[in-house]
Amino acid sequence: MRLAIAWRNLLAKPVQSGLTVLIVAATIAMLTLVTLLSTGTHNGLVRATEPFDLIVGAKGSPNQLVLNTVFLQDAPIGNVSHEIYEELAANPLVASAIPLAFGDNYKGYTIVGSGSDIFQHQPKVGQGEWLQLTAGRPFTLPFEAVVGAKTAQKLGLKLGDEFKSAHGFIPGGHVHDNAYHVVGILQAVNGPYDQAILVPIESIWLAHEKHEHEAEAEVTDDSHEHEHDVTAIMVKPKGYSEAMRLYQQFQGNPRAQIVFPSQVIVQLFAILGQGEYMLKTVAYIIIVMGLMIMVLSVYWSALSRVHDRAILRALGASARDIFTVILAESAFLTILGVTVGILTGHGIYSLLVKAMESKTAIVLTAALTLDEVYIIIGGTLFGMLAGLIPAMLTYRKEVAQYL
Amino acid sequence: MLEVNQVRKEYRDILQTVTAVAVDNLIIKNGEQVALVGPSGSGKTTLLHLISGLLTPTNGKIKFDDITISDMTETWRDIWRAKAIGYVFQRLNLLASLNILDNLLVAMSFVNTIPKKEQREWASQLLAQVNLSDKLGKFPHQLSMGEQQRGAVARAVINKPRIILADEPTASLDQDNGLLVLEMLRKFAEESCSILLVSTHDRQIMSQFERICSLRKAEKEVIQSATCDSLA
Repeated sequence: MRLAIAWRNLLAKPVQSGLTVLIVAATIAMLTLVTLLSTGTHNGLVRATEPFDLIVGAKGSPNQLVLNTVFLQDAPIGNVSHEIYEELAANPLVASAIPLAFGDNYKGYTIVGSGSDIFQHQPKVGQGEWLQLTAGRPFTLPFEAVVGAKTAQKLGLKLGDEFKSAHGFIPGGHVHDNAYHVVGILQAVNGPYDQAILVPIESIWLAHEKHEHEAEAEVTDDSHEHEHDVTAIMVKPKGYSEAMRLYQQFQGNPRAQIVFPSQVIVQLFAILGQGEYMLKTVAYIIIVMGLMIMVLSVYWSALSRVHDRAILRALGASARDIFTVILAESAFLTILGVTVGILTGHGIYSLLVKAMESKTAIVLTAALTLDEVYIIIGGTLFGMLAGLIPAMLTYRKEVAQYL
Repeated sequence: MLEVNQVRKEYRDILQTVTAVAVDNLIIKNGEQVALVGPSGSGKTTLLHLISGLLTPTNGKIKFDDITISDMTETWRDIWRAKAIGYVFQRLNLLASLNILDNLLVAMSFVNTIPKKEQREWASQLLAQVNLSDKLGKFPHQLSMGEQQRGAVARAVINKPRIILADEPTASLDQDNGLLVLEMLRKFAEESCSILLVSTHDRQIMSQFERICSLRKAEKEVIQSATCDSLA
C-alpha cells in the first residue's frame, strides 16, 4: 500500500513528476550516448583492423595508409612496386601477403583489386575466413566482381549483374570501358569491407593500362613503369616475433613503410579520448545538476504533501512508513527516468550509427555494454540516494501542526 | 476508560514558554460521547493530538484502560493510533491522490484489525452506510465537502476504534450536512461502544451531547492554562 501511495502521489502531480523524470532521463540519455559512442567506436575500429596484422604501403602518413586500406577512406598515399609484394610473398617470416589496389569506384563504392587468396585469408587461426560468400563464387577471371554485403544491398547488385567502374574515389570520374560481372556476394563482415567491391587486381591494372594509354595521347607520361604497382599489401606474419622482425626489416626501407594498424588505432583512440573525456565531463556536470534538481523536486514534493503525511500519521502510519513513501517516490522517478534515458540514449545512438556507417563505414556495436549496466545500477542507486535527503529531512518533522 | 491526569503541553523557545493546553483531570468512560468546547487557542486540538499519541505531554499522564499512552515509545504510539483511534478533522480530511475507497484501504493497511481479503468488502459496506456507494472511485476533489466529510467518518471508524476523535468535524459544513455527519459519528460510536470526543464551538452540535467538557483559556497571554469541567 505504501508503494501505491507513492505511485498515486506522483500521478497526482503530473507536471512536477514529469519534469523530474525528464531531467533524470536527459542525464542518463547523455551518459548512455557518450558511453555507447565510446564503446561502439572502439569496438568498431578494433574489429575493422582485426583482419590486418600488418600493412605495407608507400612511404608517408601511417594514418593515411590505415584509413585508406582498412577503412577505405581517404586517398592512397601512392603505390609500391610489385617487387615488394613478391619479396614479401617469398619472405620466410610471412605466412601470407595479399596485394591490394585502389583507384576506382562504382557509384562511390570503393573497388578493391586483390588476389583470389584474399578469400582464404584467416585473421585468426580456427575462426574461419574473413570474407565468406553468401551467394556465388570467388572471382577467378579479370573483370569478375564479388560484392560486399552492404554494397549489394544499397546498389541492388545481384549475381549476373554488370557494371562499369569509374576512375577515382568519388562518383563522376572517367568511366572505364570494361564492364565487371558480378559472380559473388559476400556475407556481412560488420566492417568497412561490407561497402567494397572486390575484383581481381589484374582488372585494375588492365583498366588503368587502357586509361593511361588514352591519357598518353594527350600528355607525355612514362606511366608504364607503374602499371603493375600495388597500393598496399596485407601481410600476415607467421607469429609475433616474426612480425617484430619483419617490422625491423622495413625500418629504413626507402621504398615502402610497414605499419601495425592496431598501433595506429591506439593513437587514434588517444585523440578520440580527449573529445570523449570532454563529453563525459559535460555528462557528469549534467548528472550532478540533474540529481540536485531531482533532490529539490522530491523535497518540494515532500513538503507540498506535508498535510497528506500528517493525515497518514494520524491514521497510524509510522515515521518509517512516511520515509518509505518518500523514498519510493524518488525510486519510481529515478527508475522511470533511467528507463526513458536508456531508451532515448539507444534511440539517438542508433540514428547516429546509421549516419556514421554511411559516412565512415565504421560499424558501431549497439549491444548493451557493461558500462551501461553500471549506468543503470548507479543511476538508480544514486537517484534513490538523492531521495534519501528529503526523506531524512522530513523524517522527524512534527506533523501535528498540519492537521 | 480514558483518563487525562494533570496533563500539560508546553512549547518553549528562547524568550518564553507557551502552554498549549493544561488539563487537571478528565475521565471519559467507554461508550461515552463528549463534546469538547472552548475558545480558539484553548487547546482543544492539542488535547486531541495528545490523546491520539501524535503529541506527547510535557507533564502528566494519559491512560486508556490499563495502557499509559503518554509513556509509550513513538512506535507503540503509532500502533496504538492505528488500532485504537479514529480521527476526523475539520477539513482536507482525505488524501488527495487517492480515491475514496483507497483512502479507507490505506487506513486499514497500518493495522490488521480486518482480514486482508475482507478489507475491500468492509470498506464498501461502510461507504454505503454513509451514502457514498456510488462514489467509490471518486477522488476528493470530485466530491462535495459534505461527501468528503462523510468519507472521512467512514475512514475514522474503519478499524473499529475504541476512541473516535473529531476536531470540529462540522465547521466547514452547512447545518444539514453538519448534523448528518455528527449523527453518523454518534451512531458508529454507539454501535461499537467507543468513546466519542468531538471538539466544537457550534452550540447546536453541543446541544446533541449529554456531556460537555470545557477548556478555558488562561488570563495571561504567555502562559495559557485550561481546565476541563463536566458541565452536565
